[in-house]
Amino acid sequence: MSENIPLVVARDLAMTFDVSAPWLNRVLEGKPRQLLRAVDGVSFEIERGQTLALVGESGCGKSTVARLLVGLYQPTRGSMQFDGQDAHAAYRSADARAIRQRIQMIFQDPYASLNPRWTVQAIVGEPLREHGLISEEAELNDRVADLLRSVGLSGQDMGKYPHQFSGGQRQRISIARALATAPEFLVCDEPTSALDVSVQAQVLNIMKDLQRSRGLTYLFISHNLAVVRHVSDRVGVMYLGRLVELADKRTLFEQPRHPYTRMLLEAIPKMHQTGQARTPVQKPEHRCKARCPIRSTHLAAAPSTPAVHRPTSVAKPSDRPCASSRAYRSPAIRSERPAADRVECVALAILRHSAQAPGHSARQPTILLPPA
Amino acid sequence: MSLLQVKNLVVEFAHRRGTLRALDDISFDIAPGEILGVVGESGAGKSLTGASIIGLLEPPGRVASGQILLEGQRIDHLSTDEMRHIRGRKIGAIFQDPLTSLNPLYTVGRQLTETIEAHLPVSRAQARQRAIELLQDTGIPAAEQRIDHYPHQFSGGMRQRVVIALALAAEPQLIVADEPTTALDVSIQAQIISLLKKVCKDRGAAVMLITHDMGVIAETCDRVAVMYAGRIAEIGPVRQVIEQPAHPYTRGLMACIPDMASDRHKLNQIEGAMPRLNAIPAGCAFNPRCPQALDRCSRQRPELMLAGATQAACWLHEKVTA
Repeated sequence: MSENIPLVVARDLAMTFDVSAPWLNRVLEGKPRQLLRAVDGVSFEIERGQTLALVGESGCGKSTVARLLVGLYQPTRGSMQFDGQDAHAAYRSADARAIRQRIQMIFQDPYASLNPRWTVQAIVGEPLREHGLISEEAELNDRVADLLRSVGLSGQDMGKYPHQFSGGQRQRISIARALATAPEFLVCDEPTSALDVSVQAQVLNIMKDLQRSRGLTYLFISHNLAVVRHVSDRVGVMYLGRLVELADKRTLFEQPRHPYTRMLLEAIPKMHQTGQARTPVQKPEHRCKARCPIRSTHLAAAPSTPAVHRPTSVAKPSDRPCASSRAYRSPAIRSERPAADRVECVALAILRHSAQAPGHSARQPTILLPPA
Repeated sequence: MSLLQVKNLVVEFAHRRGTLRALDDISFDIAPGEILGVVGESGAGKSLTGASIIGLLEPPGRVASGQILLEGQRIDHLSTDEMRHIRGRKIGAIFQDPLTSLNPLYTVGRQLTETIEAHLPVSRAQARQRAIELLQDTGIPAAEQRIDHYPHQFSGGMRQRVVIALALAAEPQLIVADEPTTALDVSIQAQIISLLKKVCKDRGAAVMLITHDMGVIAETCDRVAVMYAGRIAEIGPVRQVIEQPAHPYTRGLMACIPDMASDRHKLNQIEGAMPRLNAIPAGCAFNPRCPQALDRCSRQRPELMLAGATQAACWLHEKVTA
């Protein structure tokens, strides 16, 4: 369709899981319903041929976003546009195959995602047969051999079984399978986390080469910031189901704005900084403070703005939600320029508000546009 | 004198079709209070080295030859009972997955006091007091209450703290930590590593830290051993190994790691994969993948030799020793 709109546009995607006790227990013991907001209003765009990386700790909702995009889950709120059409409506329609062909997924564990009883030919050829792209056996073999060669394996490997390959080779088979239907958009959920560094380098190089030669668009999910820095064009940082910062790779790594992003960057063990002290061990009762350094330093350094959060009237930090945890409970005000870099943080909002109008209270966490 | 000495250790697995040599002539030592990192790809023999030292080799694996000495005493041929007294009392162990290394049916307090009572001459009340102190030292808040909780009530990072407390319970001189942070998030990893470093420094315990993460090694260890296909390819002070690696494999491994500092378009990669144990090439095991392989590399196996500030098993450095 149109070339000037982003290929993937997610708008306020949310996924809520019901984790309540069983019905009978709720009735007898008066337990309330409990909802787990795995993804709570995530918006982003991915331009054609670009890579958006999502990073965050376990449980932050990255994989749920991936599953929403490929249609494994129906979102509880929000929508995803793929090439101008509503993807989730398309997944439900009779013509779901058309969109499934164009969006494929690579999973984390190459040991679990390949059927051990199928040959590589059956694994890689399945999408081709399933989508009715190729029916003749000879043609299928040629195509599978082509696909295997494109990921650096040999055409002769198609008669083998997954256990005959190493981890890196298996992940290449997964990539070949994902490429079989000639998709435009690949969702990669931690594709190299199960691999050794030397093998990871091989797989990442193949993914980059394929992106260049086929114009692929990637959503790349990882917890490894160094890998993300290597593969991505834009980076979204997720925390507890929300996108707390979304920026160009360069901006994010050179000028991280959200305290959580900074904390993540500082936490990475660095190869060329041997023997340096780093983040001290924090006692968990100071978790808010520990996890949000900018907030405490700002409030300590600028006593002229106590009206905003009244830090002096608070007895124990654990007694109330800190700025960062509150950020994920209340809805955010989204910026009007969605393509620009976004940061969602109360502390930064305070800084900004106090700079503009001293004493002005910023209760709602805001997605801020960084100052020009 | 070094605390732990490993001399020419060979570990073999008897197999229907012959014997597989998983560790081939490994020698190194650890000084008291030192942190030695052991790094390598999966299958290089890192964990097996750790398991041999703590005497937890699973049959059919066995120490075929060589010696392991703790404070000058051989511990590689002790009986299961004798080894049980050494484990915990003299050598503590921390494994990758804190959920599987704790018993889910016992409270953490019971597991800690059991270990303390087994190894130290204390009463039950003293053991409990000591367990609470250990939990406090490893940064667990409200230790008096948490001690009666079960492992599932702790988060991953907290659980790993309990495991560290357990390893330290009987004041061992050596801790073998096998991938202690691999199952944890980066932010938690940073806390656990600095905790491990701190508690070991406070108690003067030496650590053998097994990991595949070069970043963790760089920030934690004093010396590092790089393993490849069951042998030590290079061993030396951590800064030299990282800044000026002498072995071509170490150099390749360093170049593979995506770096936060540089903006390379393509990552360097080592072609091929580590050989399987039944197909280790003659000569230097790395020679088919080595960009600088010499003729003799495929014929003669290099032993560790001095290469600048480190020791590397590579013929390129032979003239340095000659």
